[in-house]
Amino acid sequence: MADKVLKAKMKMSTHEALWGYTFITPWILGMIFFVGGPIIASFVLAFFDWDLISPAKFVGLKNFAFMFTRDPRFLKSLWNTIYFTIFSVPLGIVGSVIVALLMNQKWKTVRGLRTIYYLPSVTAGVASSIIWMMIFNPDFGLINSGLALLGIQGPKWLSSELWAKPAFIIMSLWGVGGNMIIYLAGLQGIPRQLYEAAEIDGAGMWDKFKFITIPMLTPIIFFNLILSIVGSFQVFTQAYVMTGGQGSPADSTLFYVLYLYQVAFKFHKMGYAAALALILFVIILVCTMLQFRFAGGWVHYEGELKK
Amino acid sequence: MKKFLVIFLAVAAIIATIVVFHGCSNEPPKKLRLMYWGDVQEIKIITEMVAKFEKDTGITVSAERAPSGPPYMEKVLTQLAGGNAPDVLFVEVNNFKSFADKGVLEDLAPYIATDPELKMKDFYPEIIDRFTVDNKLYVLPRDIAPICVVYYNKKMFDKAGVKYPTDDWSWPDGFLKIAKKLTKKDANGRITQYGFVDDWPIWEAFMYSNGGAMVDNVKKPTKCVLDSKETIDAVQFRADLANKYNVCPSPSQLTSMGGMGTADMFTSGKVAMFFSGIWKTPMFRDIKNFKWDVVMFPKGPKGKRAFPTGGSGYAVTKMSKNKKMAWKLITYLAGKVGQEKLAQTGLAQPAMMSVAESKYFLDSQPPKHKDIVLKGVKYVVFVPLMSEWEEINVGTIAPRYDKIWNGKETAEKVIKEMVPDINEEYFKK
Repeated sequence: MADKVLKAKMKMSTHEALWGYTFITPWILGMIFFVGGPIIASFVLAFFDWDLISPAKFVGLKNFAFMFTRDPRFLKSLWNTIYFTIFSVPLGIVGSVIVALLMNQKWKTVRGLRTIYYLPSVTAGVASSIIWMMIFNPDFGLINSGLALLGIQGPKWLSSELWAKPAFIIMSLWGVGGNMIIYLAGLQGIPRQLYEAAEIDGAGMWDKFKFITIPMLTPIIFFNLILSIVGSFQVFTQAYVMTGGQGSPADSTLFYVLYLYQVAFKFHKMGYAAALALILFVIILVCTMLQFRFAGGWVHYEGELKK
Repeated sequence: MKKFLVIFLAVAAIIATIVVFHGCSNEPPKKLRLMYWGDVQEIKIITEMVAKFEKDTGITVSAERAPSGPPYMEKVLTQLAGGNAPDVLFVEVNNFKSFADKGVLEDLAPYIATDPELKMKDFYPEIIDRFTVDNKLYVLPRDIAPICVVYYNKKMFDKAGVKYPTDDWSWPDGFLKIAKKLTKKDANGRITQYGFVDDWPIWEAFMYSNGGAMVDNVKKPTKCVLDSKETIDAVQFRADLANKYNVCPSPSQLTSMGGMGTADMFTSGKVAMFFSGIWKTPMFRDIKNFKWDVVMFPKGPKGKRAFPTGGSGYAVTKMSKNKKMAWKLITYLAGKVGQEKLAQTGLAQPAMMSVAESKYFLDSQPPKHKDIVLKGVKYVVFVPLMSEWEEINVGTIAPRYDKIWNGKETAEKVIKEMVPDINEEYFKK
């Protein structure tokens, strides 16, 4: 009898596995044929000179040597990207946690508000870039008009070398709704008993937030931190649309991937572009590994410190 | 399952048959592929000419369009890299060099020499010379586009009581004076109307007409010479138009137009003179109750006349399996009939002199003085003939000049720092 049940279970699980694999097959095949090949090819290409038409020529480490010794735009674009990441990632996380906390209240209108905050995440990047160009308009854009009411003369934003990057950072905060959804799910997954127990012990709002909410959210914050850093190192669409692919003014919004795009598709230096991509991969890999290395200290899983 | 197997085998058999029969034929393929970019009017002309070609020859043509600029290059280069080369390419005076350098383009000189209808001397020698590298003609020219056209709004001139400009004006004198008269401010000192704007900062026109140059030799550049006094003064003058004389919107003033392009500023009466090529004509023709004309870009302070130029044409790829028919196709597109159709749109100045001077181009439609582009041809200066020029321009000149246009730094400082970098990076061989 027990034997039969076990057999049925076995059959059930192989059955499930089979279906599971069937469902992910399109993705796996797509990965192997459309992404895997190009990934390997781009690693190899990084050591070649190739203009897409003439045969590729092996040049060893030349591309990398050029990058670090003679290419000021490589360093400039890397700096621009780091600047953007340093500000946009922490602000984005704080912003989306705050919005999630607000959206976790039991107001009547909260469902509608959640939708509104989430909307930017489903808006196409090009469309939202165009909206933001209007918002940043130095004379009658939303931001400078608001500042003018306070008696402050706003900067020239997108046409100012100094303010173009901050403008992009502000714009990136528009996307907090996307991460908000994940935090919201996390907040709702925190067991009520924890709060009740804390209340019995006499904890106030702040204590509950500090000792229960935040620790319980850390795995999600950690997950978002990794994804946000990866994402912000690859910032491209906004700068491409808003500066016509140029990264203007004076290369102040020339982000790393935008530069890579110029090298590949405007200058037709595929080998050098592949080398740039490889370096970006290494940077992101190292960043992610460091984050995992230090995660143990602050990320709580089910309330226990992971050692 | 059985049913599936039957269908599968049937499909496989059909495919195999097609492949075998296809492989058997020794005749050149009856199909041609053409890659091009262009706007609505160009699509219409190409579609008409292709249909005529198909009817006359029985060869089918697949004409594929891509957005101009990098997307077009991306698509063509990807097809070339993938061994799927089109037979005919639309190219222009700057990007054709990238293809020619890579050995993609067929020399058309022998074809034109034996063509019953077309002759090399039918075309403007300037554009033939541009498309000829080491005695090989790589492109059959379609149009030449001297960037010498200053469009002006007659109503705004009348209102300000300013006489319409004539071709003999010069930029420090007549041009600047007129631009100042046509610039207006409101009570708060905010500019409500500008005298002048260019399609994009066309500093080259100022530089060339002041006697400056990009490189020592346009066809065989060995050195960047942008650091001459003539060039520095001209670039500074272009920057001063915005930042000192306030007759032309600065980059930040342009962004405050709320995404309005410079041409839209002209058509909506926010600017009195608009500088570009003749290709804006169809756009302005479509506007009702708009009185406008054109005048040639002003001469430099020493009376020199010169401007940059565009231009385009069709090339046959070396990989084409039916080059004879590909040539025939481009004689339809860039031949007499194709050029006449193009001329009527007002979009471009035909590269064939007889068509440019014919009633098809010099018709009764506005602008009245469109013959300035015919007179302008002999003053054109092309950009340096080297594949890396795009990279020098996008990667070095444009970002560094931003500081000049913003008024943050002088032309002198930026250019004197920039030229050694360009020479070191691109001309030290």
